[in-house]
Amino acid sequence: MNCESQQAQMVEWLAGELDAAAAARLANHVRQCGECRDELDRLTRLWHDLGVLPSPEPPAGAAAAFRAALSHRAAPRWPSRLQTAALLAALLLGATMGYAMGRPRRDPVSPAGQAALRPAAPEFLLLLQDAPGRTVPPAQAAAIVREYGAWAAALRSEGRLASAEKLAGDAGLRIEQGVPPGPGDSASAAVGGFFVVRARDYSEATDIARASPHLKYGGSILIRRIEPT
Amino acid sequence: MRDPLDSGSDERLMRATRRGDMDALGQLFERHHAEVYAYCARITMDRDAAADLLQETFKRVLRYRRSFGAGSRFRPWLFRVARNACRDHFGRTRRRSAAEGAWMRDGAAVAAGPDELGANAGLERALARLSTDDRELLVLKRLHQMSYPELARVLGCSEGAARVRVHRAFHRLRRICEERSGLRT
Repeated sequence: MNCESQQAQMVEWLAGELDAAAAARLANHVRQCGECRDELDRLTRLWHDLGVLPSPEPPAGAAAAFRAALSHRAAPRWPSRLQTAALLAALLLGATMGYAMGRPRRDPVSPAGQAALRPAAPEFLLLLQDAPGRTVPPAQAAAIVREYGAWAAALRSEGRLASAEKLAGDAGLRIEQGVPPGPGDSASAAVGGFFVVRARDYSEATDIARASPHLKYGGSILIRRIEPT
Repeated sequence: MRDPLDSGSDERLMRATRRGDMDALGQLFERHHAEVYAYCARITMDRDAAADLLQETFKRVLRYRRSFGAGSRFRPWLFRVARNACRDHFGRTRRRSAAEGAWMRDGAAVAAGPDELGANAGLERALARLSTDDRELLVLKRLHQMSYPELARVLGCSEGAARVRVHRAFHRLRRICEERSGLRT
């Protein structure tokens, strides 16, 4: 029996896709042929080792990021839900951004996120501005907190979140040369907080911003590229 | 309680996705995102790119959902979408050789992670030295357990061609392993 033709079938045998008759012929051959038996042993070890290599694990936030993208895409299908949600915006920003963003300025990330970090990528400032005059029933705030939290967690695990802070609820101060400090205006008061995210360009930064729950609740987001220093 | 993963076959969920059911697409993502990510990471040897390609693959599943035929099998179709996304990535960034170069320098760190190499380091590096096409064949056949009919659908070739290509890729891997001092097969 020809060793070459038998060896040509060994990979299919390892894959479990050799038909029974051919497998029987191969088995009979290797019982009689030491060289082919050794060859099959070597191939079997390599086939086994290849099959048990660890799989690269996806980033922890991958599913959340996809859900966020899906909810953004699906939102226009349910305007009544949107209208309801929009009413929640103001309290949402007061209560939830602190939840989602209230953490050390340089955020620790998961090991998967650290692997995904792109410190050389440009950074963009997302300035989150509240919808004016909107309030959120406290009963619904928790769900919205989770929504913002999921978005922030997804960014963090993907290594896209450089920093995030919630601003205090007052209008702050405005100072000018030669004028005593005065209170900030309503535009200043509307700024609820900021995210600094890593993105390739404005287009990607826009995608990140659009995946946030902020827009659908009536807020707006100003995006500015940070000049590297 | 009914397990949401048992609520239908992949094909049934994909048909629901065709009708605009985003929950069905979400279930398909939950089922398959880990293996799509693993495939993209092995092919691109770039975890950042793989994370982007995972999202891109499922965006394309949604965008091209109407191209999923009535008699189609979902998993080969999904991998074909992922494969096209990877190819577009290489074409767009033109960094295929750079990515492979990085892999060659860094060993298997991209796919396995520096803490996961262990006894597999030699084989990981040998796999990384294969051409992308050969690596893809072995990844799909061995790591993703694809049958030859499935593999043929992903690659767009005949079953016979898929068999021959896997055979050749496996023997090329074996030769690389034998050339390496740390691994005897």
